[in-house]
Amino acid sequence: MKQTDTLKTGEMFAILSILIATRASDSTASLFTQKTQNAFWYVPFISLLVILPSLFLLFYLLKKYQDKHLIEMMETVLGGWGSKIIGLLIFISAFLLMGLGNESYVSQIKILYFPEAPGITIALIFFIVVYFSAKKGWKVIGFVSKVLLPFFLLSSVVLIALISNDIVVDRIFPFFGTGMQDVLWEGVRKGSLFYEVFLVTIAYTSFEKTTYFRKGVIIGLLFSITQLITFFFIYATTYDYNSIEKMSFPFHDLTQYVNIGSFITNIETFFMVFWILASFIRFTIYLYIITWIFASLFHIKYIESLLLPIGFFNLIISIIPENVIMNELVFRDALLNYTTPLLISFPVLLWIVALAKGDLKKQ
Amino acid sequence: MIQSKKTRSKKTNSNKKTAINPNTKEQIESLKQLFSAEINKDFCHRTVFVNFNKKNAYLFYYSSIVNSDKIEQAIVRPLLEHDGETYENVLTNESFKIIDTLEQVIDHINSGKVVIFSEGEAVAYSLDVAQFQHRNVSPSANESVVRGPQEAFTESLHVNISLIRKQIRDKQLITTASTVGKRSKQDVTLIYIADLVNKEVLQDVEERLRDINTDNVRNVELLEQFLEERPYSIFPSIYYTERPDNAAAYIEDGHIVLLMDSSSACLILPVTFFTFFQSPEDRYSRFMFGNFSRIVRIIGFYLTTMISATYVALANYHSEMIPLDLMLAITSSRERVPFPLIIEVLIMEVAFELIREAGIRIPSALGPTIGIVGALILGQAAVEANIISPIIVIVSALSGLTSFAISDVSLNYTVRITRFMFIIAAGFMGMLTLMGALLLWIMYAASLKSFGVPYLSPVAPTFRSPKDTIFRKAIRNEHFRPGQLRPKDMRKK
Repeated sequence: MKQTDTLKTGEMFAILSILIATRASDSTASLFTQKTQNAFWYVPFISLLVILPSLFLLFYLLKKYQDKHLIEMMETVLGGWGSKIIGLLIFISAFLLMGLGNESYVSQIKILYFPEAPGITIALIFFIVVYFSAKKGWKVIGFVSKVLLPFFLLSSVVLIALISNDIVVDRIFPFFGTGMQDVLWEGVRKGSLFYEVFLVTIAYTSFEKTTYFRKGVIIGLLFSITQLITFFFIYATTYDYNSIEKMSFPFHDLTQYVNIGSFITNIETFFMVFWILASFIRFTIYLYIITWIFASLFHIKYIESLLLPIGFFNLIISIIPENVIMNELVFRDALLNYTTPLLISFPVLLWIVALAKGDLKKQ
Repeated sequence: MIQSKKTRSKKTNSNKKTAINPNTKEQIESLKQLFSAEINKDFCHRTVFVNFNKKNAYLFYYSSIVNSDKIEQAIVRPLLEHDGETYENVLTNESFKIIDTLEQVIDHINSGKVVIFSEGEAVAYSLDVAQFQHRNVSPSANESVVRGPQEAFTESLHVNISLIRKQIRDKQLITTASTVGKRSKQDVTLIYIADLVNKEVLQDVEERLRDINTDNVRNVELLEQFLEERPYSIFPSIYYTERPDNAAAYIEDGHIVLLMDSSSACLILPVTFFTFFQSPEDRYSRFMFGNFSRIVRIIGFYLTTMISATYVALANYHSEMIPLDLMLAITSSRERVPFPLIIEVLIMEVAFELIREAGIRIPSALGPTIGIVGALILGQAAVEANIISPIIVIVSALSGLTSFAISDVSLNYTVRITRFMFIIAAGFMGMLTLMGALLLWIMYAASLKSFGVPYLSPVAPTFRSPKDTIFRKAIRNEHFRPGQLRPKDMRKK
């Protein structure tokens, strides 16, 4: 039978939105506030601008080398060794980011909802769910993302509606927070906020048509940046500039703050349900993508059999940091800063090599 | 390797053919022996002296499955009295057939036909006079509707096909038969509209029917288990219905319907999750009314799968979510109950399942007893004895009753099993594990396929379709057939 289970724009949109827009609900916001205070809400926009030329260059290359995904395209351009080095760099930074992100989510769950449970148990549950979901394959991940995305949107709309009374727009001033230079510099350094867009190009060929992929990425990116800025704006205008620095988990603080009428006052669990589901899917996608990158780097056919070792090592990485502060403010901050130049430079490198080889003129 | 072995053995099986012995005396003796004529009481053999060729003819049939009047009228009398050239001229019944192998003879006798041997001929003649006993057409018992036709299928293939043909007067409505079973050969009838159905799905079904390797498949209920891809799955992948109007609606969308002689229901395939979720009445009711009952059903679906698990999670791990007054009421009512909350919930859920199972099996004369025992002992007395707290009765009654909103029998089981999985998951670490279980459940559902059609289509993956999933559009705005089936004709004109 002609294939009936193909991925389309909707799935790509859902995958990318879950990968990036869920950043609004984790500790990324508090990471930004350390350097920029209440100006952090438009930092993602600066980061996007920084990363955009490289992203378009990468897309341009993928379009030129038809029917090849990220790693295959790199191999054609750079040859065996060059592509392996850059591919490994991409893989390792993504792997570490996932591990640290994992620890960040686990400690959020632990601190906010299960203070007495050992962190390793939560990490293990997280790992089990993510591993078994990822095992179902890329297409299923896409379908489920698409089915569940409306529910996530609904919950964030409810949250926005409930908090809207407490927003004081004047709190965006001083507009440049700690100073224009600091804000710009922070935005530039955190270009890796959109790391997932680069990673997801590994799935370039898995769609019915590659135009679906491109369309999905562009719409997903637009949507994600809107969602990020909306939520960051809400944090900035709800908490104001002095207290925002001290918020570790602004999203959860928000959900604990809001209430429905005077009878139901603690509704954070309602939002936590959707947040946990979204985090599960987010890490499922992440695990699958980095395993995919690893597998295609070394030409391993069965991605599913690599999920367990890679997922397990990730679990180990995630329990290394001693505490959430170290993890967030030292390791993750540094890693995000170091990956940005990699992301900005490698598409340029690819483009220059491809240009020198004359591949781009033929078509 | 295994595949090739299989096909080879099949070939040798189907190639085994014995020609009919022209020495009729010997042939008849061996046939009698084959059917154990001396001890088999309803196996009949008669000898008639044929008028037109002045030779003996020998009739073989099972008296219990044929219409004996018809034999007298259509076979014996013409043979005794009429003149003619050949058997074909004399026996003018529409089912007259000439057969030439012993295997065919055996098949035909078994399926209620009269087989006639003529002295000295190497062929036999068969006439269909079958009259299997069956019930009359009666109203549907398990899928009742308020608005819509009441007829249900009955245990007769002919009646069932006529019930479908009554609703689809289309020359392209095809009924083909294939046989299943190695020892007892049963006909499975496939019904579809030839210029709509997807050829590949049809071939797939026919292939799977051919591959069934067992002695006997008595009815569609057993056939379903032989056909499905994943016998251990908690999700059904073939739709089972006893309503001919439902079957006709699916045939018109390009699905395939399977019927068998001794089943008062049919199988419909390929299907998706939404097939099981819907009830035929949703379409017979007007747009607003139908969608209203869909809303009620989706609430029922949520409650029956999640309410007990949610209660366990909230009360155990997220008690701050429950408003204070309610929380105090719950706590004070649980004060004297010795069990942990999850045990309490499980006791009540299991009790409800027991009442339900007993209610189905209990002889109807004893029916009211179950209500009294269930309501009084399990509700009132268990609370008074401090085995469970009153709120658990409410929660489990809610989750039990709402499960009846899922009208389909197969999905109903899925939902009930799921409920227990979720309760146990919620008992581990509240919402964290409950959501993990839910995600894995959805992932599993999304990975399923029914005869090549993804289980959650046309939602994910998307297809052009009538968009009849959780909600439906107004009937006059449905322009397409479900695209996930890849029908030959997409447009409903």
